[in-house]
Amino acid sequence: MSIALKSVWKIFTETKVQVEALKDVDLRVETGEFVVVLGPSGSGKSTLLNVTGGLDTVSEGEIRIDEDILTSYGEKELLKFRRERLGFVFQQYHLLSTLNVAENVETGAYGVKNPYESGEALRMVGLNGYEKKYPFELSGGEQQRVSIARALVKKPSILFCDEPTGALDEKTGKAILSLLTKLHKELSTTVVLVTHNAGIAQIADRIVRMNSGRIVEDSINKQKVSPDEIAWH
Amino acid sequence: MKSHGIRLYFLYVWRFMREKWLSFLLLGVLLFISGFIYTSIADSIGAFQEASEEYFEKTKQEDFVFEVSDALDESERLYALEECGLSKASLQALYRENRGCSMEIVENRRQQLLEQFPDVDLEARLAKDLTFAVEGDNYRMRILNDAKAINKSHIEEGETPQAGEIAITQNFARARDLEIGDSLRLREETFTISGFVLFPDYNLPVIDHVLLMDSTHQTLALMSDEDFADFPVAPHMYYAGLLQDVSAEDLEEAVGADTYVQFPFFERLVLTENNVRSGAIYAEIEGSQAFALMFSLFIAAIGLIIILMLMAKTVRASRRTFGVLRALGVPSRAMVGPFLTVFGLYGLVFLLAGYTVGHLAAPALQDLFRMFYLLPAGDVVFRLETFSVAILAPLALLLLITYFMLMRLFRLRPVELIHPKLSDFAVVKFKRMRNAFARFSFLFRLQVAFIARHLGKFTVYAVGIFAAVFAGLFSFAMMGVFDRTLPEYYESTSIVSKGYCEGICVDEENGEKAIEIPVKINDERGEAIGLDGGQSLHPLKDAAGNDLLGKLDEGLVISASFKDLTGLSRGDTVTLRVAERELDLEIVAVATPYAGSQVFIDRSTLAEWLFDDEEAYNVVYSDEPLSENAFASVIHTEDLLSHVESLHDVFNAFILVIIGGALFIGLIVVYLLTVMTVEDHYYPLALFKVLGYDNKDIHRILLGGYEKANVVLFLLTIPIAVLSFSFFRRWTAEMYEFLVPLQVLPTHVGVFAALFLLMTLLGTLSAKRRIKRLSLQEALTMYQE
Repeated sequence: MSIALKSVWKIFTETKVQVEALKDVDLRVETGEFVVVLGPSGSGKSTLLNVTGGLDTVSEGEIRIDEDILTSYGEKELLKFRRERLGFVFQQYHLLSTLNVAENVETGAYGVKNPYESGEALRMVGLNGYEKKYPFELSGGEQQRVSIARALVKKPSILFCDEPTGALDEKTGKAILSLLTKLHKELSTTVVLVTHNAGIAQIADRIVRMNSGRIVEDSINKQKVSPDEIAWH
Repeated sequence: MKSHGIRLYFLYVWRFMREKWLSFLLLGVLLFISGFIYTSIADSIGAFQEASEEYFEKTKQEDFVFEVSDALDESERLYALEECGLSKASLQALYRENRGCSMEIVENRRQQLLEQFPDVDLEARLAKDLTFAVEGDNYRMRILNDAKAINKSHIEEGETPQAGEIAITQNFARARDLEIGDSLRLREETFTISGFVLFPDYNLPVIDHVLLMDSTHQTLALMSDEDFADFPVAPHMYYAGLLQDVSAEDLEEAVGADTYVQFPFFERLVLTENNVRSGAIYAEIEGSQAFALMFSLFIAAIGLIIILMLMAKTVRASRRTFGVLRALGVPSRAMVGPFLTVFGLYGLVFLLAGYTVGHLAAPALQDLFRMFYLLPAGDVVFRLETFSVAILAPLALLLLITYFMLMRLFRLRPVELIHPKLSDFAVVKFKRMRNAFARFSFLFRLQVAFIARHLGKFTVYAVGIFAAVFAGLFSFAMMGVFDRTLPEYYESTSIVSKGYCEGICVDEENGEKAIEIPVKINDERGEAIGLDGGQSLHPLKDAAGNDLLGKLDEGLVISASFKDLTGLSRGDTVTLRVAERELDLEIVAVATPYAGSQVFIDRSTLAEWLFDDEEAYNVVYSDEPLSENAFASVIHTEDLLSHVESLHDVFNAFILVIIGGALFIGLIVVYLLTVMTVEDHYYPLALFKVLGYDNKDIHRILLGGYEKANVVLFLLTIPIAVLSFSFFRRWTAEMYEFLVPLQVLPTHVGVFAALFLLMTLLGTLSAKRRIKRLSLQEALTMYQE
């Protein structure tokens, strides 16, 4: 499933100050690609992920995912699109503390046709036998694996990851990245990963660098390395 | 610098409250209602409680009553024959012929009782009942003898009546525009009103029927001793008693089976403190005060628990802020102080407002109480006790809760405040409960999970909804309670007037013959109604509509309410007693509608048993208005119904207030708790939106549990209410000897269900709007679980 952004602007108007978070962004991600969007804080990378994932609207421009023009969709259509086609992984895991692991994964499958069983999704992320545990009983890495399982259970066409290792130590972070690259290969899912960590970018097929709301570099990663080999910043 | 910092904390608290202004406003309303209810009732009752206690002391209110039969026993009949030359069967009959002779028997009975029970004082209480007219409308009057030692009269205003004068109750006079100096025409005689009187023996509001206590349609009266003696109505009587060297319990024990054998005229001992016939109404008032306290505490408790929740929310929302401030070295008291001050002042304003309005409303409420209770009015004054309970107690609780919630938080280290750990409390506690729902649908499990997460809040919700539904159903069950007592009975008959003769009637041609007489049925008091099988004005039917008049030849027919009161039923054999006369009869049927403690019997059988004359009767039923002058007393159905109607109106207003109040409290509870539920779950809501759940799904997950709970609570409350009402019926039957025919009809449930649905829809409206408005990014950033 391909993604195409054409002349996308996102302007936040809070009180009397206007903030241009995205300025005339053009981007294309091909089906099955693993793209890392790299940039410092305030560069607009999370905003890019939010508008591409239909979590936020654009001020101007067009976003297409295959034939679907997201920018023409209303709230209901966006919800449906997200539910059926997109998976999200966040820095803070965002698990629901009152639900056990299996139920947290199931929240990702609600209302989706033909999802994985929650046990199958957990097996894919290496958490066999964790179904009945609760988030507070898990380590940070395990919680992030559950959130990845929750994103995968619906068999998404695109997986959006917002700083997925941001709250983890190096060892656990690399394990999560290994898992993401493995799943990307096995499931051929398009992955868009947002990070400020330049080391992480080395695992991607393509690296998109952002600064001050603009794409300043978009290049094929010719020195792709495995997660174990990256330099952790 | 320091004061500048404190100002900022005040500002912080104020802004927090402003943000949640509607929740805080509703909370204020709850505090206001709590203060208002308690103060208005406590102050109004407190006012005449003090005046009443003094009045009871001064007038020597009875401690107990010995009820005695009007029928003369054998030795008394012999006495009347030998000493007075009269052959009479009853005291009243004897009184009409020879007053002195009957009073000798009354005194003789008193002496006999005093010999048996030397540790008490006794005085005969005589009462003459009659119907009289004021501007064309008929009312009832009970004239009492002027007691010398027990139950003395109390002139509230004006003078003690002299010859040709009468004192009546102030409530009646006010309602009928009568003033001191006005005249009343009673049985062809004219009396001038000399003043307003009260009596302390509280069988008084009850004339003819226990449920008719409206003192604006009937009056008590006092005449001079001579006028009372000469007034041409035979009195009924009992002995009022004061305990001297014996306790009520010991006296009760001393009155055994022997007493009934030794004194055939003796009917029963009534300890009046807890009986509607006597000082009991006073006990009932104290009960009302306790009820008011409970009710206002209940409302205050809901309010305080909501405060607890709002505080918990404040604390959670302020965790990081407090953490940073603590890290900067700001002491706890600098942050606690503003919370306590602002919350305290806020609570105080509403409690004070509730107290003030309640205090101002107390005189009006006292007047309303005095419509039913004949007690002296007192001044509504400031009472420290009321003020403390209405204001200081809830305020102290409010501040304590706030203080402890904040101090719990401030005991944590700054780093724990800034980076909270994942909460495991709810999960661990309810893991087992959650596992029990493992087989249910995912949606259902989610709903359970969200309820279990805030079980305390859900408990308040459940209690609030239960209370609202219960109060609502109670009000509906009370609807038409008076209709189901007297009007239904009278409307089922074709009787326009009942004419009661002095003793046995003689050749009355204007209606159908009947007998009405108080009897003892086993050990229960009741009224025997003698009917002729062929009469047409008083139908007798069972619940299926079958005519029971034909069954009177076979035995006794009892009323449905008597069946409920006594537990007697068809096939039981009962003994009817009047003085030493006894009659065994089998119960052959149960008659409807509700008709008090009545048993129906063939008139000729009853006449033969009572008067040794099967043609005898003492009351005439007529389908035309009977003349007041032709009978000792006449009851017109129309008057009775108009009396009931006025009570009906008061009750209907009362019922509407309860229904409205129940729905209002329910609405506040539903609103506050559903809105809080949404606010508490901003984070999961945002997450669900990110995952692609639509508003309907989210609403179902989050509020669906509460909606299901509403249905379950509503359905659960119905049997609980029905059981409670049945318990209430039994309790009033035991305490007050009458049945309150509460009735929960399917239509009541249906109408209330519709109102309840409307209330919950309104309550959740705001919650739904909030779900719709939710911003994903903001919620995900702000509310991390």
